[in-house]
Amino acid sequence: MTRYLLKKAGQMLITLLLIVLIVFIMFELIPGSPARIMLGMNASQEQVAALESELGIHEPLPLKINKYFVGLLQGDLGHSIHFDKSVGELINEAAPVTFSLAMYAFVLIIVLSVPLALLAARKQGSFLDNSIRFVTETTLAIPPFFMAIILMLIFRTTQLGLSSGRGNLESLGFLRKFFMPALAIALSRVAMALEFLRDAIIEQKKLFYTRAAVGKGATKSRILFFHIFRNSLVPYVTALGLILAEVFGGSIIIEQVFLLPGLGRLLVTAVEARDFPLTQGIIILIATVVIIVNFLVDFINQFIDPRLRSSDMKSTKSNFWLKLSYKLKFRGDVE
Amino acid sequence: MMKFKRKFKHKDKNNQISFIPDAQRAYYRTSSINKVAKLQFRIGFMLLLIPLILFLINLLYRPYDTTSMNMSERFTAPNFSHWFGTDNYGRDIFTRVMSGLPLTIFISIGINLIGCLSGLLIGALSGYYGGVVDYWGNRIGDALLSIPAILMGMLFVATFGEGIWQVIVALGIMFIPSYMRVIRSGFLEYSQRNFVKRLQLIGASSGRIIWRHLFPQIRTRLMSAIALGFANAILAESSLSFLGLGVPMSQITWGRMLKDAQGFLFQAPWSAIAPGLMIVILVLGSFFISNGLKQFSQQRNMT
Repeated sequence: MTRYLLKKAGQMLITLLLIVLIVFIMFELIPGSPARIMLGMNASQEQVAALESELGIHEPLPLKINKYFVGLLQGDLGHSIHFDKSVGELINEAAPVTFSLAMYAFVLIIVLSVPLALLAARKQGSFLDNSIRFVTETTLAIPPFFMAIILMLIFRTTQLGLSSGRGNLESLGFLRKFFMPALAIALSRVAMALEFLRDAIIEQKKLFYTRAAVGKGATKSRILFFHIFRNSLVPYVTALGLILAEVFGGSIIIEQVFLLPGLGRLLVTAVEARDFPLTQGIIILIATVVIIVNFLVDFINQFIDPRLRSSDMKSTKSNFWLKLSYKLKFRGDVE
Repeated sequence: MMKFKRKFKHKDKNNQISFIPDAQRAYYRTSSINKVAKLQFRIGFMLLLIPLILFLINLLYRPYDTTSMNMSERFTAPNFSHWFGTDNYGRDIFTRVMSGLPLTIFISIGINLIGCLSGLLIGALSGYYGGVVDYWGNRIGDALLSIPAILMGMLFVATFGEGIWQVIVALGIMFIPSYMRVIRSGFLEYSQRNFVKRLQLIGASSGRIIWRHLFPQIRTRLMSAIALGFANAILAESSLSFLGLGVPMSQITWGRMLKDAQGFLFQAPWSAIAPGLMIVILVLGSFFISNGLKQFSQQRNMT
């Protein structure tokens, strides 16, 4: 088990490094002088030269990469030109809003998808199953921002009753205020989670041990919750890890709809003002969170399904993962 | 007794004993899946007919100009002369929605072309050969998949400025790993089969095996992935336009129409609903077609 986790941790570190590299190289690809673009056309030659030397644009590439990595490890994400503040400070102000919104939406996804999947999996191909899947498939096709607009029209309000910044997050009122944005994100992603759990439950129902449990005389609910549900959790939790990236993407858009002071708003401002250090910082932060959560998913799966702990099971499991990979909506396979 | 065992137990390719509860029931299940798949395919096709008709009308005839303003007709509710009403400048929304269609389709086709072709190349190589290509392909794929697609689009816009090609390239790159994984898993599944081993024995070249023998096996699921990718591309592009990034101001896109409509949402809800509904119709149609194709391919694998 330790070996498997170490291997996974190694892969996680490589992925993290690659992301930082991708984001960093984008910065190098800017046509013309980045300092000129950041300062705008009105800046004087001296200002541009000063910023260029501050950013170290004329240094050789390996030196720059080294400098950037050392800065990242020390928690220094650079200095935002547009806001004239350090990037870390700006992110620190905005991140709680985005993360709590994403968490809220995530919880809503779980709360909606588990009972619906249990209902749908009761009988494959039944009217209930087909209608649940039809409705969730339709909500999957509605982009989060249009969902938010529909919700606004239904509830006849655009006001969330927000005070500024972090003050929103400290009381229980947060749950009420953020309900609409979180629901808008969650509704458009429920179908993905639901499909996974439903397929896994149906898959498990066909297996021998379910029959054995029926023969033993266990009650239906006991079979469902103690035998089938636990076994179906592994693909479900894996899928949730992958959905997280989508949830973050959704919350970035939704913040723009409801004017929440989160990372999404900050990012849009940064992109419009072409504030590269801030853009880099936010993208690296979100990608890092997604990757770490996906690593934790592997870790959690080991506790849900002890069979995964012994490495020799992996080869027999591979066929199962392969089948699963196709069900995973277009997001590919899971090792 | 032996006969009974042979009928109900068989070994799959991993040498595991799997259990078929009842041959008859399995048959019925397949046929019901078939029905649902056909139904989904039909619904998807009918939904996609609506944008197709609009596209043809747009080519032949536009009832109003898309940019000229008419302040006397601001916020007209839908009626016979303005089917979807008018917006804050008195522009006809039906015409604007219609004229936004070609650009949307062009962008999503471009995105999927980049994603599919590169994904096919990398996926086929890593699925068939494995090894180093496979490992690094997966790592880069993991890295790209953990960035939400919109963020990559924004990164590209921040770097290269706004423009249609920036959106196509950025989102196209983000779509490579998804295609790569679908194709790779297909190639992995089939490249261990006996027919591939036989082909290798009689000296068929790798290119021939990949293109002539393995590719046709995964064609249906690739088509399903393309339909899904088409839908996802429309969603991603409209999200970027909704944020006001990506496609430049001069072009009409549904995302930007929705963004503008948000300012006068309660005065003129139709101005938000029309472009949003178009996105939903196009995306839902592609989803259904993709689902239908996917079930066909799964059913083929079952038999």
